[in-house]
Amino acid sequence: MHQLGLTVLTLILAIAGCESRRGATDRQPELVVFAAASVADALHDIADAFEADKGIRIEISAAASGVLRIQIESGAPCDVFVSADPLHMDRLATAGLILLDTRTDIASNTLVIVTRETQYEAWTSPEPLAESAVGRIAIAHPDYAPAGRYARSALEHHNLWSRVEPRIVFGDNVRLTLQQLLIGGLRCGIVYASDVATTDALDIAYRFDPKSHPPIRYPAAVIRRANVHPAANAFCRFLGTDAARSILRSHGFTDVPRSEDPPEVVERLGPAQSVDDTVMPIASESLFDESLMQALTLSVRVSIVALLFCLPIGVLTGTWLARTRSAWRPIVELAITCPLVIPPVVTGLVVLYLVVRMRLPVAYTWWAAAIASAIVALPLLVRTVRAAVEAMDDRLPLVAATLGASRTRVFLTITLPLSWRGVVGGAVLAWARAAGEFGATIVVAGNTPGKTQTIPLAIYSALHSPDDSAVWPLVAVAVLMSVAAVAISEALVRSKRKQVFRAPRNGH
Amino acid sequence: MLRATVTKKLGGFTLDVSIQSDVRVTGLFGPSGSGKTTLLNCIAGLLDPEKGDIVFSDTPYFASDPPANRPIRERRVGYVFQDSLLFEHMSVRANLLYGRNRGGNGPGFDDVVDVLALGPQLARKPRELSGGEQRRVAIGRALLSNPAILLFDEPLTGLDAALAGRVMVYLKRVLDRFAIPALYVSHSISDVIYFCDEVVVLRDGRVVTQGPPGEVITRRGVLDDRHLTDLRNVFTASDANYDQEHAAVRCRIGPLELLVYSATPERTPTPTLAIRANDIILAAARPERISARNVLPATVQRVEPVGGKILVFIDVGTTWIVEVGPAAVEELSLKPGAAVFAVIKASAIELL
Repeated sequence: MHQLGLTVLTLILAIAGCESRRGATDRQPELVVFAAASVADALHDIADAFEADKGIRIEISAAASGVLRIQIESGAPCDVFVSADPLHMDRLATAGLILLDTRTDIASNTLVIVTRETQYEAWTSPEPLAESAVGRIAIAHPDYAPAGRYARSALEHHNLWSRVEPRIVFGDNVRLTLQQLLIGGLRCGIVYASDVATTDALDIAYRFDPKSHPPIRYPAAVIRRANVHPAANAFCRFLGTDAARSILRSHGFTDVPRSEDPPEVVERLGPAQSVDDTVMPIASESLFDESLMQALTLSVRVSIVALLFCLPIGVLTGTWLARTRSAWRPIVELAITCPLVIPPVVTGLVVLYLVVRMRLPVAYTWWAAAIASAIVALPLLVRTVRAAVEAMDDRLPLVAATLGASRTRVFLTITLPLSWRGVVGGAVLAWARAAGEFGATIVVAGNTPGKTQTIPLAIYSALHSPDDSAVWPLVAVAVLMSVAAVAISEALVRSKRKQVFRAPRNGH
Repeated sequence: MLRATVTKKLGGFTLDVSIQSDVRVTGLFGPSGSGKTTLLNCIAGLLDPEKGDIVFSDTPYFASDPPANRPIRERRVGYVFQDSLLFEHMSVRANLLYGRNRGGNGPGFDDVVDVLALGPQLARKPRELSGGEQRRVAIGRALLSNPAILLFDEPLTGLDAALAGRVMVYLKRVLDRFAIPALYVSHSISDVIYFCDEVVVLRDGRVVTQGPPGEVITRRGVLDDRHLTDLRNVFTASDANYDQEHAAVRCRIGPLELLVYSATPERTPTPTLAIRANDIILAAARPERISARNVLPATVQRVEPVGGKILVFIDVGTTWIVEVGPAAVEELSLKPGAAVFAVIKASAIELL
């Protein structure tokens, strides 16, 4: 024990030493760049080139553009922001958070249809999407992810949107869409050309004409701070150099068209719609209410079905674990407890893999969300039931057996009634866990409003959207649900305790 | 009727016994940790012996060679646990009826409720009952499952003396009324003498001796001094009348009259009474002008040394055990056939 403490102390000192040495050699602080996830790889290469040239270290923080934008709004220490979407940059500009004269569009991208099927010849039009043979189509979420917005515009342009919409699976962002194609069993999707550059597994079937959708731009700008980093401007300028452009091209990006102010014609179907309506669809109040209700309904449906999956398995397993002396017990215990500690994303991946392997037609439906939530919630139910059954006098089932009762009758008339508080308390906890499930759900079920977008997913998406006013009502609903669940569960446990300590009546 | 050969290890303890009993009520007597309850549990099927052979009235319960193990629910044992173990979530009625659907011609519901005086409690929940009432419900529940054999695991332990006395009376009534074979585990020698036709004495997982209680208790190594202090004569009297003026019950054993002080009127005409063995005084001649209210003529049956004391068995219509010192035996020349007088204070007799 003593030795272990010494080792840990030594380790801490060593790490602290490294830290201070590093700080001493760096004359200038690092330049912090917030980069949209889709350009992060390219920016790492550019940063290396910049550092080699100017000797200034660059630290890149990669996330979804919307998340980075919120962090900047909250005062995160960021010097340069590279967004995957002009809208987020616009919001920062409106708030006066960027140096306007430093803003440049550093790259463009091409929207492509990709397939896993090599037998497809390159398409001459996106028309084959309308054929049901291509199966479901993965795209990023149009309301939140730029790639999805462009994809919808392009499909509307080709008069395909209404025909393919029922088969569309929305990923939360374009990277997730890519994963759904790579490992999630979907065969066709719309992503950026730069995404496909990272993998051999997907073939580009069709490249959309840039005129079929709003221009794809990656704007960069220096963030307005008390002390603007001396190298921030230089880095922004560096992003426009040939060296940087060739790196971006090697990552599958394209150059921004040279013409200074090209009035890119976005052809639209139907009557004229203001551009604002397309880019900020959730700004409308009625739509927001509807999406909240949708998310709430779906959350309730998914969590209740998850609970219905959990209950029989959880109650039987919990009871069995409390009573058995079987050699299998530790193994079952481990298997049941695992989802409690494994990152839910991993659980989601495993479920997705199994579901796809077993050819269950549930991936990307709310059924998948319910199954994933059930698996994640199960340990809570099992553990609570187990504790309740263990608290019961273990001779009572034996008494019932001496009175001639079968195992089933003992379970139904003795074990269950005497541990019902544990069962109900555990069920409430499991339900709340299922209703709050995020990581596994987004992987196995995607993030399709009205289909698989439960409240946690809606919150996450709303955070990414240029308009995040929808977040707080969703947050309020989520908090209310959780607090109510814990209160109910606690109340049940408390009433049980009270009963245990009630003194028996005297006399005979 | 019951044959049980059992080898069972539990931690560092080993039960290794072979018993056989043809009587109706068999006692299992011994100190804590002697293996009484373990043996009972093996017979009920709550524990599986490592080795053994258990047969009850031609029904095999357990055998290790060739292996056979009748499930608990098919053994038809009416097990009454030390701490009642009622089903808390059910009414008394539901508890009593739990084993009812085993069928057969067991004791009837009304009969059991009547014998155990549970009528007023039927609608109540176990936690609303006193400890004594809970024991009675547990006994009734076992009876109503139509048992082939009743197993009692210290059914009077954990109750205060007054309650234990009441339950004792009910239990005796049950054993007499329903005539179901029973195994009765106890560490109280008075209980064993009162209830059992035969007793098996266990110590450290082995059988010390077996036989009728009256004979067994005088054998070497069965009783120690602590048992002697607890030794009580429990018996049933008849023709009880409450004497309001003297706040006493007048009753009879055979032709002899007995006076027992009691603050409350006795409800039954056949009360169960208890007298400690060392509360009885023996006199060679009838004592006169004496404060003790009861002087009964008796005949000495046996005189047996146990530990440092002498137990004198006397016949007063029923057999009583009297504890005296060795000097008294000599002075009174107590020997079988001698006529003596048993002197008991009315306040030394306990109404159960």
